[in-house]
Amino acid sequence: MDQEQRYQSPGSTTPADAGLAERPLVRIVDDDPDVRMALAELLESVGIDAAAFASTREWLESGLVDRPGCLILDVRMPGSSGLDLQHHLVRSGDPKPIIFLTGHGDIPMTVQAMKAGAVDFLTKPVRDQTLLDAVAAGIERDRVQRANANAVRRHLDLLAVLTPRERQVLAEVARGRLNKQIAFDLGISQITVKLHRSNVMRKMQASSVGELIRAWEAIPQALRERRS
Amino acid sequence: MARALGASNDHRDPVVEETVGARQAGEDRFRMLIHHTPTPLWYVDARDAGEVFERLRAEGVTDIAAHLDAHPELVEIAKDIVLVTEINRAAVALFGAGAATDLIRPVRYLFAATPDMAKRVMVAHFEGRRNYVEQARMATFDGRVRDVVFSVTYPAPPEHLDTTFITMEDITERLRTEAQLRRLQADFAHAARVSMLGELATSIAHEVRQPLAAIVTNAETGLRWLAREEPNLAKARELIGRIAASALRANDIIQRVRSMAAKQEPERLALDLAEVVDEALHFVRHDLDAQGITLLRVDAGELPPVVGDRVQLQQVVVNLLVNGIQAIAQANARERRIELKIDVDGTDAVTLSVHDTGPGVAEADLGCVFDGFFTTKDTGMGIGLSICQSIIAEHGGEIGVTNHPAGGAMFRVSLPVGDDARPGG
Repeated sequence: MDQEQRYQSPGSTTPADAGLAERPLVRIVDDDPDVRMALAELLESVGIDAAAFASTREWLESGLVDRPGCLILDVRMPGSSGLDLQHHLVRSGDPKPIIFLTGHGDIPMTVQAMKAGAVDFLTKPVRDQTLLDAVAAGIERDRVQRANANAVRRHLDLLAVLTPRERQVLAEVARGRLNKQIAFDLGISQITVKLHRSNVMRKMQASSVGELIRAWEAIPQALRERRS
Repeated sequence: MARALGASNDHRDPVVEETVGARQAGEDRFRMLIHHTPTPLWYVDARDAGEVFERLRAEGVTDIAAHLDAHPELVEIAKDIVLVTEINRAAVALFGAGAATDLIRPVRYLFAATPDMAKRVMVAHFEGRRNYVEQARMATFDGRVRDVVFSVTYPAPPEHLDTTFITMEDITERLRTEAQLRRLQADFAHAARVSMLGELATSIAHEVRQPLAAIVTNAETGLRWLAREEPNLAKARELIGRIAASALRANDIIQRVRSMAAKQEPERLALDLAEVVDEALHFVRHDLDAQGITLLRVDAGELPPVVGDRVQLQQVVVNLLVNGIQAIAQANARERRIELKIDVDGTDAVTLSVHDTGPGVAEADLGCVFDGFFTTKDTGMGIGLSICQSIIAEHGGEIGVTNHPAGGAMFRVSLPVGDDARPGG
């Protein structure tokens, strides 16, 4: 049973592989051993690494390393349901794209899942190409999400170096305010504002005001303010 | 009585004669009563058989049953040497005989429809028992077969050894009525089962769809391996093996549903209640999951078998679980749990309890939840629990409901431990 519960394709177990951490891994959670083995085999046949788990808890406890990829989840499973897990992931800041599998297309549930960020909602039995297309889309979405998250992390690190005053100036610049307006609002001279601006540009490693504003806007609202 | 004794002291001989005469008169009156009693009755002279037994004892035979098995001809001889000496009117009527004399002959005709009984009657006689009772069938002279309770009373010294009594009670009608009732009960249980399967259709479809989903994916993956420039036969072989296994699993599920839906005579087999529960769970697993209900199961270690009909007992378990699921769902309970416990009650009963976290049963309703057509649900006919009760009663058990101190309803079924697992009937 233990062997069945986690299936790892041979390709994913080579520790010497330097690119391993960036190779996509698809996690499958389905309480039916036949189904999850079959799905893992299908992915393996097209060279995608897969890990299969009997329950969401088993997966959460497995402590797998962070790798790009997506999830294939049976909607209704004993214990914690697929939708519950989805909410859990969103809250914990790891919004892995999820492909839901369901025994029967339950429309309210589909809507709920799609709103929460599901990539696809497929009905069992699922055709191979349909699933592989959904997996490809899921992996791609995760790649984009991870790239964005990396950028945000980098910008946040840079942001941390700004003084409170520089951050204030940056926020005003991002709102499209002119130097003299900023100077008036903050009660400082325009020269000082210009000085802050150039410091901000340098510290944020931005080569243009446009780039600076994009970096600022990529950072979620809550995080922009938290470190001020 | 005292006067009679005093009299015998004075005139010994006449009194003896008088006493004999009185006894004779008393015996005649007694015989007249017996003749008219509605219970069919036979006087049988088994002295010749007694002599055979004496001879066997002298030869050192102690296990008479084994001896008769080895010498069945002794039984056949006994059927001819043991004689009916007298019968009453009811016996004549029971056997549809034209005249009383038809019945006054060797006992062979009493064993025509249940030949094996002769041996058992002899064994009891040999062992010196006073009575032997067996339910048997009698082939009557007018070609009918009657079910009777056949009772033998053997004489023991100082009684008249020439008189063994046989009485019979005709229970044909009673058995027929009971059979009819049982058939009605089984029909009713079957109807309820089919309706229950209808309610569980989604659950069952899901159960079947799982292996089918695995089959489809494994087949398509197999085709992918085969379509490669260098087909991977080992992979394809492995996948085909799994396809076969999943197909068999799907078939098992269908088989289970089929036996649930089938209309068949209830059986009486030795069953492990834990196994019955395992099978029942297949029908409700999906509903439990869909409602987000956790099932806590506690089994006592070694369970003695109960005797009964597998499908009917499964039906009871499914019914109780569906009941719990619906109670929790309808009340939208925050705590969603069903505890299913199988336990041993002393040495003579196995119990099953199902405790849900629903709202429990209203005090006023506790007395009538097992009544037919009683329901508190929006949908449902209110026959489920009444069927459960009749099935459990048919199995010699009991079912009851209480509100658990911790909340929720708790149904408890108690079934007698079966030591006489009989195949069929």
